[in-house]
Amino acid sequence: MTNVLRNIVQYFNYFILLYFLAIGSIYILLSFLSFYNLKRYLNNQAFKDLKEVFKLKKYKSISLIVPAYNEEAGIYNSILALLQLEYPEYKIIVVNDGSKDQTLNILKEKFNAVKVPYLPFDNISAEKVNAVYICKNFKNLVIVDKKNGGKADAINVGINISDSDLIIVVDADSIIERDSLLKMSYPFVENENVIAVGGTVRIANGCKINKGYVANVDLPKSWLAKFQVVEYIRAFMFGRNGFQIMDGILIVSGAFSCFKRSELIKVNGFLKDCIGEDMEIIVRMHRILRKENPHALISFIPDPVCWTEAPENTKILGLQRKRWQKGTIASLLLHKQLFFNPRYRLLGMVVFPYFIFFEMFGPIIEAVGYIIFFISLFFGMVSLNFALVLFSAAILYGVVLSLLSVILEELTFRRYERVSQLIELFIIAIFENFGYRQLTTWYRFMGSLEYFWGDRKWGHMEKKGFSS
Amino acid sequence: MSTGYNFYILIALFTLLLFAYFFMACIFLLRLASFLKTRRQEKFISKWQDHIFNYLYSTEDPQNLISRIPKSKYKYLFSYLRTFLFNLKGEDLNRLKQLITETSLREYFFNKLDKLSIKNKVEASYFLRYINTEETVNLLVKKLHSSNKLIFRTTVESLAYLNAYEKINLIIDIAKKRKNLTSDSILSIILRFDKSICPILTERLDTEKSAHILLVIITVLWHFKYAEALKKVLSILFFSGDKYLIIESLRYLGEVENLDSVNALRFFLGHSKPEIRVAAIEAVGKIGDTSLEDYIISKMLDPELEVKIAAAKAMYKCSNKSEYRLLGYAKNPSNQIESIIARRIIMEKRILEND
Repeated sequence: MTNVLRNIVQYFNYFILLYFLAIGSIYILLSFLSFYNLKRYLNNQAFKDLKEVFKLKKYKSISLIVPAYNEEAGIYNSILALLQLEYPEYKIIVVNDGSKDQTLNILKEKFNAVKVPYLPFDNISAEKVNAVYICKNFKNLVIVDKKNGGKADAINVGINISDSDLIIVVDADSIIERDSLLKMSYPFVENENVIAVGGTVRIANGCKINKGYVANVDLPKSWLAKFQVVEYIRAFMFGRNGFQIMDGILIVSGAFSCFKRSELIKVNGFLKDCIGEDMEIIVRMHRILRKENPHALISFIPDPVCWTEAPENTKILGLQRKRWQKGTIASLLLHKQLFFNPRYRLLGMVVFPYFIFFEMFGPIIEAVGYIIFFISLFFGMVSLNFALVLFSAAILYGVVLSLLSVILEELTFRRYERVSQLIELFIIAIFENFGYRQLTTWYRFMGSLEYFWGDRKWGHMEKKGFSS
Repeated sequence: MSTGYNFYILIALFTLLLFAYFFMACIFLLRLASFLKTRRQEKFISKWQDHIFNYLYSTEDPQNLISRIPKSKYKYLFSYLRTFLFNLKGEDLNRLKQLITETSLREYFFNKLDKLSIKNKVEASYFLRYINTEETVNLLVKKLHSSNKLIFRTTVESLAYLNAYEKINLIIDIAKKRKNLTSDSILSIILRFDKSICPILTERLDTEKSAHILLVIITVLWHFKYAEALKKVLSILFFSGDKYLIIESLRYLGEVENLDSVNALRFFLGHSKPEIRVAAIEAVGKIGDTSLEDYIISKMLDPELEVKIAAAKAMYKCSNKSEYRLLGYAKNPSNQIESIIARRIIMEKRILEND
């Protein structure tokens, strides 16, 4: 009996080793693809002047939809910053999703809003709209007050109200780069098969914020936020960029993403009450729209376009990661038809299975693997050699990959300009693999368990907000 | 595990550590390289800025200045020149252009255009836009056939800058063959030309078969408000079954504001597709022709919401009569939807107009 158990444990440990080697190798491959994609992107940008392109009359009109729920602390400054973006014609639709605080009153007062009749466009079903306001001071600002229905529902109301070609969804607490609308809309001009575009999100903690813009990029003081800086760089530089080559972007950031309005209506908008609405909409767009047009494309902009606040304590980080994991599982299971489906080419045959094996089951395999490994080490069921091999595969491979992502950042956007910041990035890239990665794996593991046990709630996320 | 395994484990550990150190070294080297490049660039600017400004406001021979700048520093010179070429105007710009047109840089760029590297070709075709000669145009035209999209785009932009409008048909023919160029993409390139391309494009309307290109041409004509193409656009409007082409043609009619379009607009106001009815209403609203106001007023009772809204917007602009009717709708709560639309449009317009 003991021998059988020992064998099982050993085989499981080998499986874990294989898992770490596989995921590391996939990331190495993705880094090469990313490097190629980034180089191509930067070469394309070198002699392109976006402002010139959009000076022409033929641009795509944009509606920025800002769902707001209890955002009284920062809503005024956020909207003021959004009103100063560079683009020939855009509208901001702030959707107050039944806030319990003063969000609506602040908006109405500060922007001199006047109530107008609501035009009952119901392309997508959504909760009842209480009132629509237009603003005397800002012709392109519309405020909508509606019954609480969640983020997805608020976005759907915004889509119904908008009459623009493109919809950009922005979190009320995100900081958007001034030229980001030019950058995000350009792929739609360049390729009419593009149905959605995601941009790179960076961590704003530690940065100097002035009048709603990032004036000076710096690293956060908190170690937890520092780790997330490298984690975000890796996720966006490797993951999104690499998958872009395979036409396999399966997630765009909910904090800042752009969609063709007509295509959003075709898929009936965002899914209400879905925990990971930002990933679900993308997977659904792939599933439905690629049947109609096999060339339909979801694109990705590697430029940093949006800055967001990262959690600085483990409680909030845990809630965030659990929510992300539940969202990933929900989106993948809802659209499981894509799994090894040759109709969706690389997306169906490579990217979707990758997400199932490594994003959905990955945290479970890793967490159980760590537990079993330490138990078997404690009971002397594995040799020191094996422990070293597993250490190399899990930790050293991770260090190499984190450093590789810093290299990609250095080769491309170099937003952390000082040498001291670079050294700090090195240190973070190394130490991120000793504890932080395991911690996030644990949260994702717990998120998976909660999801399968039926706990699919959002959880309350507290944010500190940015001080200017 | 056996000793053989131990060896492999050590090799694996060693390799990974080596990679980690190698990457760290790479990052530092990259940062060092970038630091040195920035310093060289700053040094170049501090050394040559005054010379370039003195040249701009003197009668100095441009070759004299260029021959003093070492070839190894050209990349700094070009990035410096690019900013000024983009921002300067008038005499200053002409004087700056002479640094390229009347110096050895001209030959330098001609040669660079034939280099293998895409980056060189793109850079050369970018700067050649400042040398307005037949030779340049001919050289650039050859590059239109490049399979690289970036080279094609930069070359067309340069030809547009040189206003080589006689090449527009060739550009469109090549663009048509390229699979990776969408209508919007072709349009964003062609719109770099000025209005002189319009007569050629109007002529092309007779022979062009591709709906995709016709759409691009009509959008260009709309952009430049080129009224001389009206008859041809009207004939396309009646003979084309393509929805997008019809909508674009209607937009064109609205933009050129010619009363000859009225009959066509009247016809399309009754089209079965709501998007086409909306486009026709918007065109009437732009032209402001009162002979169609009864048709527009009747569109307030159209079954489609977007058509009603377009009609309300047009009524507000069209005439006192239609505005009065719109007010009537606004005050009449029995037609609920029409009343909401009318009130919304009137309030919106008044609030925004009083601003």
